[in-house]
Amino acid sequence: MAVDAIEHAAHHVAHVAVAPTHSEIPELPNVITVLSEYFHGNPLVGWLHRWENLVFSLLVAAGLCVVAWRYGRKPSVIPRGGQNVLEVLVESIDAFVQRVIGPAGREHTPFIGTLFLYIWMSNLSGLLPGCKSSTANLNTTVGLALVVFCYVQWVRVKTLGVIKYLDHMAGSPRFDDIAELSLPLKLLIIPIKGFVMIVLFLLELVGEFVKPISLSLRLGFNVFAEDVLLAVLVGLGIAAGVMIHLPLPIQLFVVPLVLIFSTVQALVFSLLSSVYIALMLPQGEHH
Amino acid sequence: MPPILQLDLQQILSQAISFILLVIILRKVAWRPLLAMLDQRRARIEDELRQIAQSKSELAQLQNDYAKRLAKIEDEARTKIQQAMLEGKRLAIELQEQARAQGYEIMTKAKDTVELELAKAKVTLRDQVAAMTMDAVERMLRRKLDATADRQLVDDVLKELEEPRARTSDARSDR
Repeated sequence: MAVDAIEHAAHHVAHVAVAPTHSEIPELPNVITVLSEYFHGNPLVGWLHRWENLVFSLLVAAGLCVVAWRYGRKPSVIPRGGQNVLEVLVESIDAFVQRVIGPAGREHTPFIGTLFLYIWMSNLSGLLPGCKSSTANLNTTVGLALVVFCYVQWVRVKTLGVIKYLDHMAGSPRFDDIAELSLPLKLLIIPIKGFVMIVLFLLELVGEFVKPISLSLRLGFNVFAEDVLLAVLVGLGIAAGVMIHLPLPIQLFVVPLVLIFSTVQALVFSLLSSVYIALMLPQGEHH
Repeated sequence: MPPILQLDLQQILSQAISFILLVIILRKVAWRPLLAMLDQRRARIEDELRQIAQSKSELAQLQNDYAKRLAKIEDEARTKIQQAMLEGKRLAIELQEQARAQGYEIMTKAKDTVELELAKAKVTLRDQVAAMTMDAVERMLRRKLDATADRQLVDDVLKELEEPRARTSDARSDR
């Protein structure tokens, strides 16, 4: 029955790829979609299907934790085995972050590095049979954008202090110029200035939030497009192989491109997040 | 609406929280230990490089000192060799002069000896001639003969004198 479910999912993909409709976007079947086909109506499987992006995100996170625990917990001065690979990654990411942010970037290396590894592995997980790129869903990327936004604001508050942060966000309003005005004029201008401050604060906040959101949209749609491309090519391969009863692996031709784009997308997200952090730091104000 | 555009606040927050947890875990388990270890290794390598540079500098200094000392030793050796050569020449000249003086002295002594021997021989010869003359005169006086007889006497004496010489020369030729 499981084989039937997989076959059904494959035929579904082939059908969607060959004759896509407006409502149905081709998508490669993963373990959870196969389970949902097999156990249709099962509440647990239904719940898993609803949260499949989170499930695959947690799988990637668990994989990263296992590798980190295995090779990074007690590193030896003379590296061996997987520690070599991990050290190369850590050192490269640290150098990358410090090149963007400066020497103060070391403090932010864990955050940027985890962001990069998480997005990279999530992007690549779509290439594994039965898995899915959780970053092909906007809920994941917007969640990441939310974290980046909070982190950047926290860095700014830590750097400037709460008062200066609020002052900066409200456009650094000054009341010196109305000191010489008459009281009625003052009573008129102060509420207007207060309103402008609130509007500026909200605009600044939205402006700050839009930066990572734009990143998340770029990442989400790029990975989604990659997955759709793979699904379409797999579908075409299945459809083309019907005559010979053997699916043609057409999608293998774009796998190298997917590998490159997945890495580039992860790098872009991490790089621009580093730039946002750098802009929040004191030396970033001068650029 | 395509599924990609269906935003779900619960899912967004779940993703955000799971990522924050991942950052916290990886920060503690991997990033901090690995970065600390990398810093430690970098410091150690820099320290070792510094030590190597210092050792190189010391080695270069030692080589320089050694070269200087070697040059000094060579100079000293050359000076000593030159001094020895000069001393040797001086000694050779001195010895030559000594030898020359000794030779001259020996020659002088030999000349003196020869002269002395010559003088002695002359005296002996004179004595012998005088004795022979006296002998001849004695014989002449003893006989008191005529001139022919005198002449005969003198010839006899002369023959007597020549006979031993002829005998000596015969003996030499026989030998």
